[in-house]
Amino acid sequence: MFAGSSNTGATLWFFQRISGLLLVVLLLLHFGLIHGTEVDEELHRVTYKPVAERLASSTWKTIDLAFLFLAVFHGLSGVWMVLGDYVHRTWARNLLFTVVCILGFVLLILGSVTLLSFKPIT
Amino acid sequence: MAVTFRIYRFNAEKDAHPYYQEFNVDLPAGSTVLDGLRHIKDTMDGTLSFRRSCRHGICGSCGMTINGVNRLACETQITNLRSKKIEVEPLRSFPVVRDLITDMTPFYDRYEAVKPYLIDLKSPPTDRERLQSPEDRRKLDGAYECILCGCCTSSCPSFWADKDFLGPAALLKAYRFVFDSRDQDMGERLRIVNDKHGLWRCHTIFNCVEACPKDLNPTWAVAELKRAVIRQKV
Ligand code: FES
Repeated sequence: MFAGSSNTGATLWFFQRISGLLLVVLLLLHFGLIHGTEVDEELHRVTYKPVAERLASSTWKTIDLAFLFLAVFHGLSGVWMVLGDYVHRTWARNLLFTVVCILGFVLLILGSVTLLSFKPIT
Repeated sequence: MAVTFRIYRFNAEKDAHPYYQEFNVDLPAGSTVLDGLRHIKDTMDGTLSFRRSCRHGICGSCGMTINGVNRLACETQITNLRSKKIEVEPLRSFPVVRDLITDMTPFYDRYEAVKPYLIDLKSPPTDRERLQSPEDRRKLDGAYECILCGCCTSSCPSFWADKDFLGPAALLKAYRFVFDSRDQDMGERLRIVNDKHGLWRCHTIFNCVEACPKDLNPTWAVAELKRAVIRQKV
């Protein structure tokens, strides 16, 4: 019977909204650059040079890291919410939560290594 | 008006499985689905079981699934269904007791869990009523009119998936007291709904809004409650 006290969900829900809002801004920026200012006028497609130049700057590395963290958090917190709808046994929830956290950790490490180690080929 | 009723039948004492039974009826113009059910029960099959009381959309006892949509049988005009075939089923996700009668205990348990009564921590005034300004009273519009038919909670996919979910009807009732200027225990009320089986299971699917025969908006009430919980925390 429902007792009301487990007090879970509020923080996750709040950060899901905040990360969603920030992701909208970052996505618009991303689309503006990749499909706008970084498109080669003659080839009509995005080319390596402007993207590599941008990714070489530490400011853009920071912005893209934020993008990565927010996207991984938002996506996996969404997955966890869906699982929360259907999985109710405590052991299964704990197991799935661990899997989601490990998955997030691996994605963050992979993304961060790719971003931080990037050096443009000149 | 000739129509065919296709009705969900189940008698736990006799039937291993539920089945559907068809009845061809001829009803006067202006008949409701409840009129049709009563006609069948009175003249064709006295064992057909369903709940009804007021016949005017007040008591909330005739909530059922009609052509796939949760509605009050007494308020549903057959002509408005625009179909010669009317499928009538018990409200989804509640255990069926017999035919169209469901066990509403899970629904009332959740209703009770949100403490659906005014909490007055001080002693009430003895010389007058608990007064409320017209503005404060208006905040309760759209929240107090619920007739507890269960159409919303039964239509909610979050309730289908999580049987411990409070559901839209109970959350709407929680809203009605959280935002009542006379109530004095908002903290306890928000503690109750701030639960993984409470507010946060609502994913704003809006089925409850579509289902409500009184045109209420539980999804909006849930959003207001979520805001109140977050405001309390930050
Ligand atoms: S019989 Fe009372 S609401 Fe339908």
